[in-house]
Amino acid sequence: MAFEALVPLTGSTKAAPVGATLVGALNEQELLSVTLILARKTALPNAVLEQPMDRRTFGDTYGADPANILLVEKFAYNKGLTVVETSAFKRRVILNGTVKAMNAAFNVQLQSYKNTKTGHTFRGRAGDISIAQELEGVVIGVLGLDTREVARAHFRMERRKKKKPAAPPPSTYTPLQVAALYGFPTGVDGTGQTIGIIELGGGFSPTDLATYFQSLGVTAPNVTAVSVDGGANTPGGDADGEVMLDIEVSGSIAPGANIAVYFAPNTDQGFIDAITDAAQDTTRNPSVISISWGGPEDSWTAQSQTAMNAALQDAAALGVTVTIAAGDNGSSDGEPGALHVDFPGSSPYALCCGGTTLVGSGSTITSEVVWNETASNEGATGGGVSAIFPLPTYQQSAGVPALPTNGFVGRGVPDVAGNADPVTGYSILVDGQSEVVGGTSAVAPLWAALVALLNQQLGKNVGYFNPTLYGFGESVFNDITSGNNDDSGLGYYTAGPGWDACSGFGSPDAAALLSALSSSVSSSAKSGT
Amino acid sequence: MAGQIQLTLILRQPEAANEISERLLAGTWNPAEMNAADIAANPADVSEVLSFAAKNSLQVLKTNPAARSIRVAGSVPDIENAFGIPSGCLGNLNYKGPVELPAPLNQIVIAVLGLDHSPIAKSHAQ
Repeated sequence: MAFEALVPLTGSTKAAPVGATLVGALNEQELLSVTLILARKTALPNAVLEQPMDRRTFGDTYGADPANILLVEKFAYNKGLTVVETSAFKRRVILNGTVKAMNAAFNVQLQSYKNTKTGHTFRGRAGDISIAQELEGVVIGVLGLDTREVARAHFRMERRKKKKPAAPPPSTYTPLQVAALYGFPTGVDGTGQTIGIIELGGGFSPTDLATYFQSLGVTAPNVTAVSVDGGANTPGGDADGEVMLDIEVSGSIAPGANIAVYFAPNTDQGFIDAITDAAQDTTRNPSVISISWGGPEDSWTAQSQTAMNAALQDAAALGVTVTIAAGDNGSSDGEPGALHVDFPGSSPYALCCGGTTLVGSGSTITSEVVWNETASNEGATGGGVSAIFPLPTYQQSAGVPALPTNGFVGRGVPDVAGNADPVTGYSILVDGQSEVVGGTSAVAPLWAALVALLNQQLGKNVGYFNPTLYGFGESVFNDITSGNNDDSGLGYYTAGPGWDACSGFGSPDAAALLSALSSSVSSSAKSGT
Repeated sequence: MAGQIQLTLILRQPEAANEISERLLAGTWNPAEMNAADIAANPADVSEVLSFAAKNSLQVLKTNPAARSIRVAGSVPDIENAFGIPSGCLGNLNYKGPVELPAPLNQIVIAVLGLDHSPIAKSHAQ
């Protein structure tokens, strides 16, 4: 029988917790999650640290052996543990299981302890962790059996100390008011353009849309639902807020455009199929696609990331702009304790949209700073440096910082920003209710609507225009120079003049952007390129 | 069909995609220069995948060279067997482990989608 014989895991001996009293046995059915660290396929020579190589080559050469991942999966199956995540690249397998199953799998006796100082209870153990003999030399660490975490309590106190006073009284906007503050072109309404919107759940109510557009005094745009992999317009759930926000923001600013909403199941399969179907839709022909969905880069498998990035490259090659939200959970992207960026926003082919807190009226902006309402639990813009995608050519002079963990200088996000703070959010209508909604989810359709207006005004689609925007630099933006998107006390990232990893170049100065694009369109027409 | 699982196999990009990528990132790409073949799957790759499907009793539902995707369906045991997935791991459709394909398919197929139906993305509305 496989995986029966046990051997102690080197370096796992632990004394019984000090400064704590034993409370007793844990509920055997309590669930916990452990991380197994696997050995490298090839030992890491020092030369690699001096001469960084690209992540994929690094992963292929110095990651875990896929055969060993498979072995660990068989072990997990044998011991009644569930595989949550595997990454050969990170040499990591995450397993879930009950206390009973973990005790048996690793030959430990997990018990409940109480910290005598703080009174907090935690899970602890004494002695060795054992692993199956087959895994000797394959698994080099088992983390998470024990939850004693001294740094955690300290961390929380830091956060409490940093707590800001309550948020200022809210000022909220209609999408048209935000468009006016950014000087969006008037006299165009997106006629002749199709805005594609990807949705992985929820639905829209045509009646609510009619009421909403009428209340803003705009002619309702033509909105069509397109089914991908069996997804459909199904209003009635939580995701309706997302769907209505996307349609109401883009549709009120570009009411002359056709809005095609691609509904797909929320799986990697559905998401990738939706991007491809939208980009290659020869019936509706979207010139711009808005995506307000994503997840931390490390929550994706390498294969789905590669496939999705290739689909986004196709969209770019076809001349379709893809605006993607940067995320709403600061520089950790909702995985506190480390820096993460959100994918697909971190794809080099995305126009990644970050969030600001916007105050102003009419066409005058009084103040605009990086959206960070972590203290009042109202989110913060995503932003940072990709751990997967290398620095694209167009960002070479943007000043993208190195990741503090390993010095990798990857694709920096966001590229651009716009109003996203729920405190200065957008008034919309969802399931018959007036609501104020924010999030970088509002910024992707805001930029998509701007692109539709620009395309109509220029008489030419801007398409994939990240390199053009980086060529213009902050001169065509309201440069955001104040604030940060630090949500978990890590000290990253802070806004400053020019591009930064929490506001990109800033929010659109649409008049300047239009004028710069007009000159580059006419000069390329003259030179014949 | 009961007990059938549908997968999307994503094929590698053709050679031309490398140059397009470089030019896109450098800002020198003009979409008007695009030929459909520049992004479509290589026909030889498609036939390789189709014969793999036939050999492994997988039904081909849709071949979409422009999207570089081939949709196949099969029973759980046939899919486990075709993709080197440990027996019994696919039942709940939340398989996140590696797949194994024989050469040259391991070069041709860059992603096997549909083994994991757990939600992949969150809405970024607040």
